[in-house]
Amino acid sequence: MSIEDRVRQLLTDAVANEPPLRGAPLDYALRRRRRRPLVAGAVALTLVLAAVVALAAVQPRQRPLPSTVSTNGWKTLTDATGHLRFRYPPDWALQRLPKEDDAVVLVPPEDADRPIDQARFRVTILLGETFWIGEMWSGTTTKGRMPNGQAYLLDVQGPTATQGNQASGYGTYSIDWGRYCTSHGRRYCGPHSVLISFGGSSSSTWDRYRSVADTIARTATPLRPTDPSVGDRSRPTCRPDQWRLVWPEEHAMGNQGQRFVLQGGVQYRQGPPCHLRLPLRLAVQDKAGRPLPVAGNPATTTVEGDLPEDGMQRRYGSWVIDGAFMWRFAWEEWCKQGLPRATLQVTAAGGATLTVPEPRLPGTRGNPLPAGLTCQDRGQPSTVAGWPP
Amino acid sequence: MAGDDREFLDFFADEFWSLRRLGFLLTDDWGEAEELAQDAMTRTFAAWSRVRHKQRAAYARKVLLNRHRSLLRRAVVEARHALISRPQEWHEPDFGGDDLVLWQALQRLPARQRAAIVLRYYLDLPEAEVARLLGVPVGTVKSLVHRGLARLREWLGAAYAAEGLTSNTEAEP
Repeated sequence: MSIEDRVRQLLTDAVANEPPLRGAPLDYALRRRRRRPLVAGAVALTLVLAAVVALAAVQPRQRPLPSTVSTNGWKTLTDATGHLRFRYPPDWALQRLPKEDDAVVLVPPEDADRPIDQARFRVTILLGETFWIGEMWSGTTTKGRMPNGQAYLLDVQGPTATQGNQASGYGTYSIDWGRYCTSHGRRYCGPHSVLISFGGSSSSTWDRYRSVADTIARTATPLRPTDPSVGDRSRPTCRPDQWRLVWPEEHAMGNQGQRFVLQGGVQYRQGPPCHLRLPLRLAVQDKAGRPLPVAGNPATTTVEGDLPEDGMQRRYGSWVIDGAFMWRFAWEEWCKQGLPRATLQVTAAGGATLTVPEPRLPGTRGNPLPAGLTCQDRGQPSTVAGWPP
Repeated sequence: MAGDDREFLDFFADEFWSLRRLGFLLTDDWGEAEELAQDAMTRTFAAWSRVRHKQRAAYARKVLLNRHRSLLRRAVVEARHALISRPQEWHEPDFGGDDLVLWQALQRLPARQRAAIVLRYYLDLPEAEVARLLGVPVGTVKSLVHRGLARLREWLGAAYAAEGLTSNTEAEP
């Protein structure tokens, strides 16, 4: 037997009798991930509904705008960990997610005796650990301000019906919770967000409880006033050599695959603490640098924050996608037929430039669309804009 | 559970044990191996939207190897300052004779040589993939494997001392 074969055999034998696990690694992985900013915003139970919707043959129906619900007699939950207070109907059941201490779930009275994952409607409040606004881009996004002034984005998808299945819908508020220092766990000083998701497994539950969910979201307030999430504008302005643009090769899709989202960040390089308000421009162009006929091209967006605190971090070989300096652009109807192959060029004020390869068309190698979603030329205009809208 | 999560669960079921075994072959410690595999899975889940369709197992292995390397650096610092003494549960393979000699020899190899040999001969990865995972050129992998096997031969004695090395310098795929 050669030394190589001998080593092969030895290595195989060495792991033949494994001891039992010490912990619960799957729980660990999922729990840790949910606390990370990369988590798609998503509270798993609500995402069940999202998955159903995403794979559905879409038959959108017009829904009435949420109506006002009286909050007289509602209970109040104060959560010091999440720096949050909100109100909810007295007959709704409130539970913390199993093995989670940073999310609470509310279900209506008729679902109170059901396991959480079988509730027909639920509202999930994910307490903010970091800053994460606008990651929900699956459906229709609107923005506004809560009664207490916090800016929010609301993404709503559905209710949609599939053949043989009931219509279901879901939505998520991502709310700018301002800048403060956490007082629990890992100390983190910076901007925070709170996510409030809601979902219904049928049109009837959606119609019955959607306005309650909206009202619950609008009662949410920070326990104390927080500083603006944009950072300290009294600091000196950052010099161009103090930062650089980064693109973590991150693509995302929304709107049944019709929306391509390009996202990147700003990395701190050197120098004293400073403040950066950075306008960015995305140009969709052909290989010769000529702009493609996409409405809104070139698109602009602006990010703002403090360096070094808010600079994009790299951990264990991958970028942590969150924070004040996350920039995003959304390209709607990006796979429209007739468009030549595109190059995406991101330019920051001051001249820093990133060139990003085009998104891959469905059916081609490297196409980022998940199974079940296909981008199709629906004959609608192709548009590009900064994200959030 | 959402589609992403379900897909990850399948991936987890397929790959966790393999990662844990890889961690053990790198560390000799099942507890540390479990932590490495957990960390690798956590990082992979965090990057799931990016890696789910391309070489996700390779990504998880890469994370595990990076994490192992950083643990090694930390271990060096800890040893230097003698600050931390971690209790360990020992679950040694039940080897005897030449196998025990070879196992002990493997443990004494420098970390990169050992990692290269484990990736090459336990996972049966081509040299190009080992190079990618370790973040070194293919030539360095050849060198690491060559020198590692040479040391193992030395430990095993005369029976292997004269053996050629052609089989570990195969053409790139």
